[in-house]
Amino acid sequence: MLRSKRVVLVVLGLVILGVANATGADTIKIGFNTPLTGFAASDGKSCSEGAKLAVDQINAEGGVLGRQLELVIYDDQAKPAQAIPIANKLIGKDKVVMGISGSYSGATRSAAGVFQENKIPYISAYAIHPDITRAGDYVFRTSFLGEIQGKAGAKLIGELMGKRKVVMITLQNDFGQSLAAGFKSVAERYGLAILNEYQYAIKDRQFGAMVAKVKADAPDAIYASGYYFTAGPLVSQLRAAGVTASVIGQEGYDSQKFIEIAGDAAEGVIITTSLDRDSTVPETVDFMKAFEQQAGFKVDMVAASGHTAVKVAAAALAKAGGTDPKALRDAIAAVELKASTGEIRFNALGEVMKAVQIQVVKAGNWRHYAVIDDPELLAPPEN
Amino acid sequence: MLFLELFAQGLIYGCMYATIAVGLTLVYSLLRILHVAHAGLFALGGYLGLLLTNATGSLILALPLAAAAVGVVGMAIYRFCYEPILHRPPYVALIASIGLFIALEEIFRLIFGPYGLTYAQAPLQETFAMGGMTIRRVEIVIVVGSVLILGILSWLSRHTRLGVAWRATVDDPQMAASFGISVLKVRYLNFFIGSALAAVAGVFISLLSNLVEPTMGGVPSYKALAIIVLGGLGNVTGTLCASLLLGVTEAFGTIYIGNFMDRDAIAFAFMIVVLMVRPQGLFGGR
Amino acid sequence: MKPLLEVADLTLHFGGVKALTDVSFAVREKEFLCLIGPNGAGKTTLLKSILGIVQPQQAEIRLAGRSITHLPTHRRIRLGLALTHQIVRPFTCMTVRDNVALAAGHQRLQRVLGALVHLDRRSERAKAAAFLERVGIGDYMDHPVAGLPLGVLKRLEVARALALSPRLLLLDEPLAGLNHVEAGRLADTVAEINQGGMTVVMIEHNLSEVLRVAQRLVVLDNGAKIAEGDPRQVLLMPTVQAAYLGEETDIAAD
Repeated sequence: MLRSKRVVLVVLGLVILGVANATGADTIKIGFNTPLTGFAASDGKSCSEGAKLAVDQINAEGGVLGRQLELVIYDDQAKPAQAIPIANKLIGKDKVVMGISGSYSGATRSAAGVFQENKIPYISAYAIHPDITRAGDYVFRTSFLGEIQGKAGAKLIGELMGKRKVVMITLQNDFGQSLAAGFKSVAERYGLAILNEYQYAIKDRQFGAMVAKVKADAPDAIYASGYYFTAGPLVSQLRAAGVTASVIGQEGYDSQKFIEIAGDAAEGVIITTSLDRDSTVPETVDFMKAFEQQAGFKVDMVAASGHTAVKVAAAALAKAGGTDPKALRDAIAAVELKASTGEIRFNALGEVMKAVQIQVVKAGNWRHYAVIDDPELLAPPEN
Repeated sequence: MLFLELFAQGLIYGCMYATIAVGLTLVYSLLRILHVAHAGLFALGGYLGLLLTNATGSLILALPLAAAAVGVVGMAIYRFCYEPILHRPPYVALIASIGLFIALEEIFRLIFGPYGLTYAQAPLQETFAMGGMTIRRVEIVIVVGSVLILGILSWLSRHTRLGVAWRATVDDPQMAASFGISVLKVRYLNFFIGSALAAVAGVFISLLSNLVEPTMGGVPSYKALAIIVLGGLGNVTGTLCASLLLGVTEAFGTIYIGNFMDRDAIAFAFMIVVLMVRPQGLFGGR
Repeated sequence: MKPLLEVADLTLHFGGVKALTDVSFAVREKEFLCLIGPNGAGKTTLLKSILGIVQPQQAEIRLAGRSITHLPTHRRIRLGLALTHQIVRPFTCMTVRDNVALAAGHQRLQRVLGALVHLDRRSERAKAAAFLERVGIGDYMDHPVAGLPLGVLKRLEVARALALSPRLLLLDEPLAGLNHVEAGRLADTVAEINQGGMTVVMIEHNLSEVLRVAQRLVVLDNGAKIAEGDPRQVLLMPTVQAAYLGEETDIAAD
């Protein structure tokens, strides 16, 4: 009795496998590594939602080259050690035509090396470390380099806002440190005096001691890097302690969760980012609406980045007319796309050149504040 | 002024560490188990406290409910995770505990999502001036609350039959059995109280940062262990002192050496220094 | 008359070592039974098994006809057993009186909420004082436990066991380590307690005292019962004498 049950199960399993394989044969596979578990799981979820929306939208309109797109998602926990075997699996087993990283810099860097070695195109959706694109000509990035965003932050504070005395609060990881490096490199040019710089770890949520010290420093502005789950508590604790200086952040804050956590303290916080909530550009407006409908929560920058990366992939596929890796790479390099996160155009290194959106929290929502479009300042490196 | 503010911050951290570490030391003193999953209960307390407060609008109602619920979960953990392996070498319980902790983190992520939850209306956020500093009401509540709770527990352990029986059992479980004390009941009580304390600490933290996340137990999991080692394993007074000392050291350390070492590194460096001078911990020596 | 305590076929081994093999005996109410045998015979293990501190592989133990083989220690104590330990380890964090009071209050501990709410421990402390007087160390009531002479500690242990209000008192070598005079006095005290109606089972090595107070003997050797009966007759048995051969015990009958 038990034996025949087992046989039936095995046959059923084989049939299912066969069916799955059969349907798989017709799709174009795009690899996607992202942290679905672990400390970065929130960003992983957002990015995959954005990417999935793009895939659904493209497939609804007939897919690309007459075939449906399929996103092959693996959880890398934002760990470099996990990203490498995942990259190998995507290339060797799943035979993806290209890869997208929905993960942090450490993991993206490792995976980029593998993709470059195998000459399969790889796009970093939001990881900002400069070495990522330096892996080679098959690697691209659809978001700003950390340094570039940092430079924009300095211009924002010194020129647009007219502040002088700045305290920096820097997150101790690739993200925070590259932002800080960019900021400091042009701070003098915009008349900024950096009173002090404090560092914190990604796990910190209690900033009481730092807040007390910042209060004693009495700056005009605070340039603080972080993610919504660190910046939210930080800003709320700053305001609770009576620190009234302007707080300027970056795209790590760019999520409704930041405003939820910080509550009233979020009012007036300004960030450099790529998503303009008040945009009238149809690509952006449509994307935000569709995302909120599909995912059930308001869009954040990471989701938009994932969406953009997939759109670039699809555009390149269409342009290349096929899935040959070299043709695909060339097509990506030549892409000119208007996406929710700006106009995507790559330079020789695979970096984008686009304007920086400045957003401010007004009445509990992200609103347009300004745009920085300074080609000389924002030019990414060529190599 | 800055000095005073930093010291006050250190006190607040210290009280929170104390509330979570005491529970851990209670379990260790009775069973010699390093109950890493305690940090998972800390996170559970944070989640339940926040959810109940959002549902009922009352923190005063939510906090004891959450603490009691987590206390019961703690007893269940003893019964189903530790009791079956008590006769095995201690590393088995440690591994089981670590596994349970990791599972709890994942369960939180699966049930509550990876983004974390916030209060609909965070209570106790009003600020007022005190001695030249700006203090949030929640910070006062943490300090006063911890002192009160730990003080009451200390009094109970000295002046009630149950408390005396508990201390006797910790001292010598075999003898305690000969006194007619149900060692099993004492264990359950121990886990209940320890876990409830962890839940209270979890709620405190959630009020400070208006955020509960699946991974919020991560840092407390090893820091609390380090604190009880520093205090002298199994010694409650030692744990209290170590907690306060660590809180103050972190507060000053993150400002003045925070650019060389991150907060956890400072905490552990401090502990290594103390343990080099006194390997049995501040009050250890059993 | 039904015996107060019945032990049947008790077998216990630790790892490969057989500590007790098929030991059976019974104790009548108000009896003073002494359990003797050379060192390592398994006497302490037997008492611990009766109380449930160690678990035999096989046994049937009945107290007043009720099976207690699978009950936890504190339940057996509630049903009327008490054991004094050979190595006395009172709680050093309390005074002499508090140790006894803790034992006296054990009934109240059964209900957790009740134990928390009912704060008045005066009745236990009064009872403790009475027990301490009964064993003759009333003067040491409020002393801390540390530093007390052995004679006092041994009596404390008896008072502590009495405070549990047992029906059957098990004593593990209460006279060990005491000098001739103290041993005699404590043995007299135990005999008085027995005359007051308490059933007593006592392990003792001090055979002269045993002969003075015991009504019946059970002899263990190498985990097995080898003799049972009237003290004088048992001690004259060749098997019993052989068991003690090589031991520094004078078993010549008075």
